[in-house]
Amino acid sequence: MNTTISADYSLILGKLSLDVSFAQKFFENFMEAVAGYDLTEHELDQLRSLDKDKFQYYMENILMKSCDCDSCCNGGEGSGNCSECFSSCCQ
Amino acid sequence: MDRSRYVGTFSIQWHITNDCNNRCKHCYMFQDGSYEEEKKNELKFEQLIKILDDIKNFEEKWGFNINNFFITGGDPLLRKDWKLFIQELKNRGKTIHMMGNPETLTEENLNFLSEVGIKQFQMSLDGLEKTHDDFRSKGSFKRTVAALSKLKSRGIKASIMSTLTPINREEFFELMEYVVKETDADGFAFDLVASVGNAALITERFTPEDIKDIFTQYLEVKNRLYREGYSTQISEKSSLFKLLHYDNDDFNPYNLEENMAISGCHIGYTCFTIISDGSVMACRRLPMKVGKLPEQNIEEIFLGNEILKKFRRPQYYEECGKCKFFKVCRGCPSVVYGEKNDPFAKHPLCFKSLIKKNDTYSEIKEVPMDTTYEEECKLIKSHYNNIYRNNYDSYICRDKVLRLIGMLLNNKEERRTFLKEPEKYVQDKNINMQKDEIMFTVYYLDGIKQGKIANPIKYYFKNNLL
Repeated sequence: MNTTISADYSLILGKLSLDVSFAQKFFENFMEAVAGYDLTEHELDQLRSLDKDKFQYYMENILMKSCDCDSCCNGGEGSGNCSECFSSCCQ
Repeated sequence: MDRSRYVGTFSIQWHITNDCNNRCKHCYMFQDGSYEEEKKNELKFEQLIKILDDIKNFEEKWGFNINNFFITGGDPLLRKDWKLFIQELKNRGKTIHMMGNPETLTEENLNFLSEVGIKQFQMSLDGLEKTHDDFRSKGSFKRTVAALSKLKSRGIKASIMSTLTPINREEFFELMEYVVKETDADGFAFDLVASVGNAALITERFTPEDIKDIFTQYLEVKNRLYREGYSTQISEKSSLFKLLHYDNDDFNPYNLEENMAISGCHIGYTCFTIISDGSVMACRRLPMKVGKLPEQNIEEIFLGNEILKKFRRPQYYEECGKCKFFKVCRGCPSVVYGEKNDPFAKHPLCFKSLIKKNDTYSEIKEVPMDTTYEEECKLIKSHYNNIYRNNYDSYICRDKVLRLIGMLLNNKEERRTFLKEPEKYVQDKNINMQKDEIMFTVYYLDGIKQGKIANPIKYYFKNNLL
């Protein structure tokens, strides 16, 4: 594992990227979200500097564009919001 | 109705008419002798409804979710009762995508499409104005660009599909930039021409070197346009793009043994095509009929047809079957057919021998052909084996998975090392992970989406390293 960052720091990044409810809590109440994790001051500063607006942008905009169709070669959920190929197999 | 046992979304490309106001140079519709016959035998509205009822029966009996309908033609709006049919699909809760021509997008038709709530409308541009008009008809380029704006003004997602041929390659990137920068298109995609129908008359040919160069440049232009702030969805429709991502350590075709296929060409797995006379094709670009509706039913065609079954089995592919990209690629059998008259032949444009990595060989794992419908259904459903979706809540509680993902998101070099050889990486790092957990991590970190991973937040971290 990368020795320059702590295991808990990686864990929080992992949680932020996968667990939407954790991410919401993180941006609403930072200290509460990181309580109990073993983080250095530098890591706390790094986490505090996360840009909530950019984060939301990725959540909202990229999610909208993400492929949601199992029929597509890169599928996802079943809402049919095709985008990765943005077409069927038709020319 | 309890839909919990239903899997995936399955799509049908439905050519409700072959009536068309264009005669494009590369169109697959004008196969020798069949066009007029198909036109004469266009299905009546009652037959369309009968097929929809059959689809419903198939869904309920076998647990498939046939949700996406790509309605096209010819120009689908030239069929007299097209609105009735679209409304019927809507009433049945289906998602409707349409592919047509700009000429019939009148105010009245646009209003209907907007009100009924189609998902998207796709049109084609095959080059800059002169080339495109030469392919299709005079004035078509301007009409298409204008139609994009009309669609957008009514809140209908509009996309451009381009067919790359040796004829239009010189201006392809100029077209791509034009669509992204100057039009109201929400998306741009392209695919390689399949030399069937009118396209068989195009005598120039691509080489694998050409395709590798074009695809490499496409990714460069795409990334530059995104860096410049353009938001048009620029798609990587061809599965061959994965070879470039693989070579760049940004993708790994890592898979669980029990998955027959997880992405790649749709053929035989997640879609089929119905043409105007009810004939069923594995893909519209592949002139091989696999059934006839409504005379036959979906069940016997999709679960029983021998050609479709072959497409699900690696042993029938001359080259793809022994490639480790089989589960995520399978090339494009229609392009192969156009060149070799055999969809299972070696893909003449695959450039895997030209990438830096030379480890794409994989042993063929034969799958028996003499299956029951139940067994065939299970095989198809393995395509939808979505460990991400099915076990998401479980994975986000596993600290070792989260910790590894968090660390790799924040360290590009480690991420590349992991994606090169995921199993070796966790072994070397002494991380105790199951294969499905490794696969989940690979899917999440891959530079392109595969295996139904659609969580976008990773892009925040990948683009905003801490």
